[in-house]
Amino acid sequence: MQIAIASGKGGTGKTTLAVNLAVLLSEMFAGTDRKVLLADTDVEEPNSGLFIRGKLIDEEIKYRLVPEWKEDKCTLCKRCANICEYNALAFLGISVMIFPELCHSCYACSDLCPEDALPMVPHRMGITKRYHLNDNLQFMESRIDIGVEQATPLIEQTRKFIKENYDDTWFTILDAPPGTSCPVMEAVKDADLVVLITEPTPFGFHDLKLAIDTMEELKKKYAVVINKYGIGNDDVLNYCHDKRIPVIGKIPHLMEAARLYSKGKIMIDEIPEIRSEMEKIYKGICQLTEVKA
Amino acid sequence: MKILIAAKREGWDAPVSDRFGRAAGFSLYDSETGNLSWHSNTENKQAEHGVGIQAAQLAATLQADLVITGGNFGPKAGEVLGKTGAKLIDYAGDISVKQAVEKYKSH
Repeated sequence: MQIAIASGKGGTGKTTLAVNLAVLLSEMFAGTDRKVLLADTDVEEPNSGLFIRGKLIDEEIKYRLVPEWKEDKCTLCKRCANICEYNALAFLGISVMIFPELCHSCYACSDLCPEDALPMVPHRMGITKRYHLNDNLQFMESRIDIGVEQATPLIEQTRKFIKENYDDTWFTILDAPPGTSCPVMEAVKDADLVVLITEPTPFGFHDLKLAIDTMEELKKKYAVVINKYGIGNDDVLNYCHDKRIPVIGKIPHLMEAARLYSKGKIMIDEIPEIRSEMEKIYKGICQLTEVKA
Repeated sequence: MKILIAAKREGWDAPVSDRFGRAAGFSLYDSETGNLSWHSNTENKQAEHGVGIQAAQLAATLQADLVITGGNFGPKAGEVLGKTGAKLIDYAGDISVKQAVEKYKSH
């Protein structure tokens, strides 16, 4: 079972929900074979690790393939620069320049070069780390290197890494990147359910609708959680009601929650209202995915 | 000598553009013929990324000896133009294409 926590707007509580839900489940099923994995795929700012600290098991450098120009083979036909959809190649008449940071690793230039003058070579893009927290809770994260512009290839590899390494996990909670573009679309690919977390403000509402459109487009099953419930207005609630979108939790807006967050602490241990809301969210997830609670 | 000027529109009276990659287009002045030719950038400037590279590639294709913009050249455009060996003038100021050619043709 894989649940992705996503949002249109950033800062609505993806990490808070992902981390607290993961800890809750690992506590609920301690001593059983129901293993929980928390996976941070928000590679541009992985911050789940600020809230849970485990023992590092191993780390793996991640690479992607980018073309390299072979001057001795090139006949200066310009085909590569004409083909590139991302302006990652510049044809200068006597040479070809490659901008790896713009390359989407699509292979078009490399495959269509008649002279094999653009072989694909590995470029480092980030690192994936695995942690052990306790017998029921594992944590992993991917982190993109500074200066690397494309997050999606690293997220794709992370998704595959989870499939290969955590096959026996009962419940995977995935902290996804914010927004509605390629990174989040890649991150939620394997999810059985996407939980969209929002705040009940005009800004939160606006971006939630964009996130809903994205999930509809991807034909993903999704549900909504409202964070900081109590501020703003009822637009989100009314909208979800009208569209028959399940709202599986309302995390109350509490000063104490903000205080714990700023200290990097888990909220369910200290705020009973938040623990009971997390339990409700878990039950909502079970209902929607037909997992036995 | 060929001078390529990032411009807000076609013609001698057009103001120099303070954008390079996302300029409306480029006027090419050829000192041998005295002609000014226009190279629209409409399609390229809509791209999300790499517009500076494309503009610099145009400068290379047109074999410009001098490239002028009213603002600055982005890092990637600068890298490409550096390879072409063209002389670069940035922050040319709030002047017309004609004034830019007059001012810099002796460079």
